[in-house]
Amino acid sequence: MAKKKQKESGDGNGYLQEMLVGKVEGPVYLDDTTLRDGEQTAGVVFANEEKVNIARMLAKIGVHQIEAGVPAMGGDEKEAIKEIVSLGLDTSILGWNRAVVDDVKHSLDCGVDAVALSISSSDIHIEHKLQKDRQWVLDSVKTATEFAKSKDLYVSVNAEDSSRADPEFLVEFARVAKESGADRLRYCDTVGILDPFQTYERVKMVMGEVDIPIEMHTHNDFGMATANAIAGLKAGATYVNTTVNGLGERAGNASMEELVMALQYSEGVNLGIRTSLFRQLSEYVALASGRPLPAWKTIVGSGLFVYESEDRASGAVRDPATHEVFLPGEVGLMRRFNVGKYSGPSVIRQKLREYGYHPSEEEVRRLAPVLRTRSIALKRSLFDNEVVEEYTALQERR
Amino acid sequence: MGENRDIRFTDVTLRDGEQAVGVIFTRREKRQIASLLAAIGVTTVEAGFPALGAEEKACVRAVVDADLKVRQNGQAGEPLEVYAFARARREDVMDAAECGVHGIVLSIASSDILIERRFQRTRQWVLEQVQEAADEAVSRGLAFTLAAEDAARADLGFLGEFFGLGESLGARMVRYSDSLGTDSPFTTYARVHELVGQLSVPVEMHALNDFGMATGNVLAGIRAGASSVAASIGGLGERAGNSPLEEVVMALKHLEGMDLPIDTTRFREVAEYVAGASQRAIPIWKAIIGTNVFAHESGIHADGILKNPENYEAFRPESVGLERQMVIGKHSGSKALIHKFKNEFGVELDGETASQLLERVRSAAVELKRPLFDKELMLIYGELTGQVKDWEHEPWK
Repeated sequence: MAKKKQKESGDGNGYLQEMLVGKVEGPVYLDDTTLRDGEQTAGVVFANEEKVNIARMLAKIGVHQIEAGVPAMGGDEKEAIKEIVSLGLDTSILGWNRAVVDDVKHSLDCGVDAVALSISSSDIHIEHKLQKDRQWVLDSVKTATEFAKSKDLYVSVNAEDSSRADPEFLVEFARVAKESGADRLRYCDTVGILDPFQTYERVKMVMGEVDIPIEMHTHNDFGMATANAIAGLKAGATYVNTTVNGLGERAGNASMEELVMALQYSEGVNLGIRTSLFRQLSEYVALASGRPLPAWKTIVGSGLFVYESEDRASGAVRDPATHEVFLPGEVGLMRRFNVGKYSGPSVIRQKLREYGYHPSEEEVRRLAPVLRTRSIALKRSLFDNEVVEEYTALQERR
Repeated sequence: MGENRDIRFTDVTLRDGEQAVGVIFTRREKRQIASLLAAIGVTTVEAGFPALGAEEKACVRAVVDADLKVRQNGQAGEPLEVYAFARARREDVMDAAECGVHGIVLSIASSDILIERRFQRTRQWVLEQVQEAADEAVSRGLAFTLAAEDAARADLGFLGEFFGLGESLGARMVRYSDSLGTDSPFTTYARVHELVGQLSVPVEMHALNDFGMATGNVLAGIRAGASSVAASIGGLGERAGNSPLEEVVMALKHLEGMDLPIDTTRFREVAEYVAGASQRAIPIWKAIIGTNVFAHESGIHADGILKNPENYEAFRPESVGLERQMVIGKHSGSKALIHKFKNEFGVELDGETASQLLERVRSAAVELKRPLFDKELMLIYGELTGQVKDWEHEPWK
């Protein structure tokens, strides 16, 4: 332990050289928790039918495991999970549980093949929330894990609030989980308080001490859920827990769309997910969760491939690669041009061409200030018919 | 990361923010946003892009003429620095100078992909443009920041040369722009660290959020030695936007322990104004400033919060101008119900009543597909205890 610990500096600068040159090696498995942590969001309730539909869509795009809900809640929740299991989808179905044998029995009733067993690992939670001690936590992990393993379930032990846990206790926690038969350990940045450098260092440290596969579960309280998940994968974690649209408590979880695309385009790791269905899936979850997708939502927002400013549009007209890291079709979107305050000749020409007009240089030059003034006066981008209207008016005047 | 480092902020809401598709600020809105920014302690704003034409010039001038003072530590002090955005060309500099700004941001492509494929030019041409525009700025007595567009995809050697030229021409700062959000925190760190080592001029981070990593990248840049951040309120900007000012400030304060002179308690207020002016509502789950960030529903979380807010909150809601809310719905537990009834309705529930109530509350929430209003909770309670008998009053039936 001593040797490994020297590298952990606490401020995230341990292992610095290694972080900078390292890549995510993979394989990486996606465990989507839209149906559990996503639904746990204050104000979000999925109808059972919606849960089932979301599960089908997740399986279709190729996630490796679906965290379907919390069987111990009973009632409707249990029914929905049973139904998801009965679909026979080509993916693992996991039920979430507190690290309590009775909870696991509810999961068994539902017929899931995997369980998450969750319990707090930080002193702040152990003392203030559970009002117990560390030994009680370790005993709970052991009892629940052994019970679940005796029933042939795949077990992910979740160390809730890992990021605020005493590192030595977290290692002990991981060791007990492993010795009790757990298949993986979920590292939870429950309150979203890590930066990527600290995440790397901490995950690396646990991995150096206990030989157990690690799963990253990150929250977006400071806007770094995706960056932190990737940092954990870079440190050697092999599973990642995401939600569609980043749905989740408070500011949400790591968003599946971001994570999959970032892994592909910044780390060169392809998870084999059918990303062209992203927009469709995101829209469905947005509707079911009652949380409309902002036009500027990363990866799947409807405004992402809309060109308005001359600066960007001129490049995009000539060669989309100048401003697009991936093509809109890869995530189920389309490229569009909008005329607004920042627009210039390229957008105007492009827009008119879409309607079969071929304006001369001179016409475009004269039209530009007219359209800009109109857009400013309306305080919005112009509709296509407004652009056409100004153009025909210009032609008539001549 | 060093608690006493001096980190500066250039707010780009009025320029890069406004460049978001469909967003247009009026003159009055630009001035009001600038005044809110000065009031919370931001020292520099990028007010607009004068080369766009007369109306934009008037907007930028309106911000200059407002003669705003930066308020820090409870006192109004230095004048707010008003900068204008300019492409690295002489005419743009002249347009900016007309507005009476204190300085300009000179921006030009630095990656080969943009230089060759967008402009069909060479690196040498880029350096000549910088030279020409910088000379023009200096001759007009304008301070300037030299911005490298698409720095994340630029050749690092060329970027060093590019920024080095800026430094020798008198740039007060150089800006590393990850214009397409393609960097990750570790690549950002490696590149910025290398550049900071070569330069004596301060480096400013500007990161876009295409892959959701803008804030992580900005923090990485600061860790690597950058000392300024170009960010926008709510992350307003093209496509998925910029790194949000509120995220960067709160992360530096709460995760990295830095002491910054920004009044975070007004973040929600400023963001609401920008949301109104940009006609882009703040999603309730927006990190730091969303109204749902301090709403707790699930039994486990609500119970934890009631025992001690630190269980699930990294900072207090008041520190960003929000309030904590307890929502009762499908995921609530009996402890949250007991607490809510006692504190808000003055009703003491015993354990048995609470668990019966919880069951009914959950099924109503599933049926309604939303958490319950207080009125509904009271009705269900009334029905359970026999005080309400008229089934007509069940709002979800």
